[in-house]
Amino acid sequence: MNLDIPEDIFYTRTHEWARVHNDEVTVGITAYATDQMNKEIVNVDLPTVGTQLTQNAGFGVVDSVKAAFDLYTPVPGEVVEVNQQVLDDPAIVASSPFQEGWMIKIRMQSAEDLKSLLAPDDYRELIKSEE
Amino acid sequence: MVAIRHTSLYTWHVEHRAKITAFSGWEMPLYYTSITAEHQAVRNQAGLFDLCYMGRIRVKGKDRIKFLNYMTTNDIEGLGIGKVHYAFICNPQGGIIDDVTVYKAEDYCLVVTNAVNRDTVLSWFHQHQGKHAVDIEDAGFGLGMLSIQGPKAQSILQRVTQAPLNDLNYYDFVITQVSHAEAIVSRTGYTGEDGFELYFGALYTTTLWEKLLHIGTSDGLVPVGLGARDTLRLEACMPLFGNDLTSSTTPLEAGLSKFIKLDKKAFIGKEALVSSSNSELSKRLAAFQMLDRSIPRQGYEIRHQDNTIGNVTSGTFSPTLQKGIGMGYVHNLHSKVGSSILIMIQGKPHPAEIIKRPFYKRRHTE
Repeated sequence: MNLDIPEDIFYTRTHEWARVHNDEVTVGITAYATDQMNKEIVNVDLPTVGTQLTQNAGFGVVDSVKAAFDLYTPVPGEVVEVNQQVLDDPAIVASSPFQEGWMIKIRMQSAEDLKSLLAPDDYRELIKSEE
Repeated sequence: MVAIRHTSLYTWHVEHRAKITAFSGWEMPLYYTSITAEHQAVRNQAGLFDLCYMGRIRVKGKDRIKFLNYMTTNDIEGLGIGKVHYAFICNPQGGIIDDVTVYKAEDYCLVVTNAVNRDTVLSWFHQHQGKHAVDIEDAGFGLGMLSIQGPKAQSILQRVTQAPLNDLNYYDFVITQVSHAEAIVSRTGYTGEDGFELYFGALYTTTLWEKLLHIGTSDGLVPVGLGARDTLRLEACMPLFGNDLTSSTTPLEAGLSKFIKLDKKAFIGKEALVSSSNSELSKRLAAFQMLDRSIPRQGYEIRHQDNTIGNVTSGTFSPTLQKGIGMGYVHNLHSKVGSSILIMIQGKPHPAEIIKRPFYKRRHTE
C-alpha cells in the first residue's frame, strides 16, 4: 500500500486530494488511488474551464486499462484551470500524482466547504482500513 | 452460499505477487505485472494462462453424438475425430445458455464451458438426457487446463512434445505426451493469436506450468492474468458470455450464424432460430471504436443523436490500437460499418464509429 500522503493537503474518502492557495483549490488523485489502478492510467476526462461544480458530484473520469474511476468534487465552485498536460499524457497522473499530475483548479466559494474534507492522518486511517 | 474456488495454481499465483480478482466464483490473477505488458507479450512473444477454472464435461456412451447434436447448435455428426468446433447451447427461445468448444475424440466428446456455467450446463445436460445412452461426467476437477498463446507458442511447446505441432491445423487436436503428462493439445485459443490449449491429469498442473515457463522464458513467455485475457479477446472481437452473449440474445443477433446448423435434425432452440432467421433482426452485435480518448465500459448507453439505440456489452482500452474499443447490441439501422454513434459517459456523449470486426487480426505466421 502506498503511504505517500503529503501533510500540506486535504483528502476525500474517494481518494482525491485538495491543495488550498487563497481561494483557489488544486485537485488531483492520491498515490494510493493510482496504485489501485496498477499505475496503468490510459485516459483522463475533465470538465472545461467555467464549469460550475457541486460538492461530491462527479467532475470527471480516470481510466485504467481495466476500469473507469469517477472523480468527485471535493469543494464546490467554478473550474478556473484544467491541466492540459494530463489530458495529453495521462501517465503523468501515476508518475506524479501530487505535483505534475494535478487535474483541475476550482475557485472556492467559502472556506467552510473545506470542513468536510479529511486531514492527512484521517486519510491514512482510511486507506489502512481499506487494505 | 457457494465457497470461493481456487485452482491448484492459486498458491503459485499468490507467491508470484499476482493481483487477485473475483471471477465467476473463483479467485484468479487479474495480472502479475501489468495488463498492458502481458497483453503485449502475447501479441509479440507468448503468454501462459491458467484455465483450470473452465468447465469441462466428458460425454461418453453410444448416443453421445446424437445427444450433443440435440443439445448444441453446431453439427457434431459431421465433425471429424480429432477436431474441435465452436457451438452454442441454446434455450428453446434461441437464447444462449453458453458458448462452448466441443472436442470429438475416438470414444468420447469433451465439452468446454465458461467458468460461470459449469454447473448450469451440467444440470442442463442431465435434465435432457432422457433415453439417450450417455454417460455425462464433470471432468473439471480431474483435468488441468493451460493455454499457451502468441507467435512463439508453437516453438516453445514443441520443446516438450514429440507431436509435430506444425501439422496441427487450427481447431484440430492430438492426444500426446507433453513433458511427463498425457495431454490433449488443440490449436485453439481466445486471444486472436496462434496458440494451444492443453488438458491433462490435474496432478501435473503445477509441474507443467513451471516447466513451460522455465523453457519459454528465453522466448519472452510470461504468465498472463484475466485482465489481458479480456483485452486480447476483445481486440479479436471474440464474444464473452455474460457480457456479449446472454440468455436474451441469440447467436443470430451476435452475428455468429455460421455456428448454427439449421438444416440438421431437431436441437433445442431450432424452431425459434429458424423463425428469427426468416425475419428481420431488430438488433445486432456491433463493434465500435471511440473517436476521442474516452473508454467505453459495459453498461454504458449507446445513442444515435438523442435516441437510445443500445448498450455497451464489452468495452476497454485497446493496448494495440491505443484507443477505446467496444461491442454492443444496437438497433439494426445503426449497425452498418461506418455508422456514427454516441457513447454516454458520465452523462456526456462521446463520438464513436461502427467498424468492421475484428479490431485486431494477426498477420499470417508459418
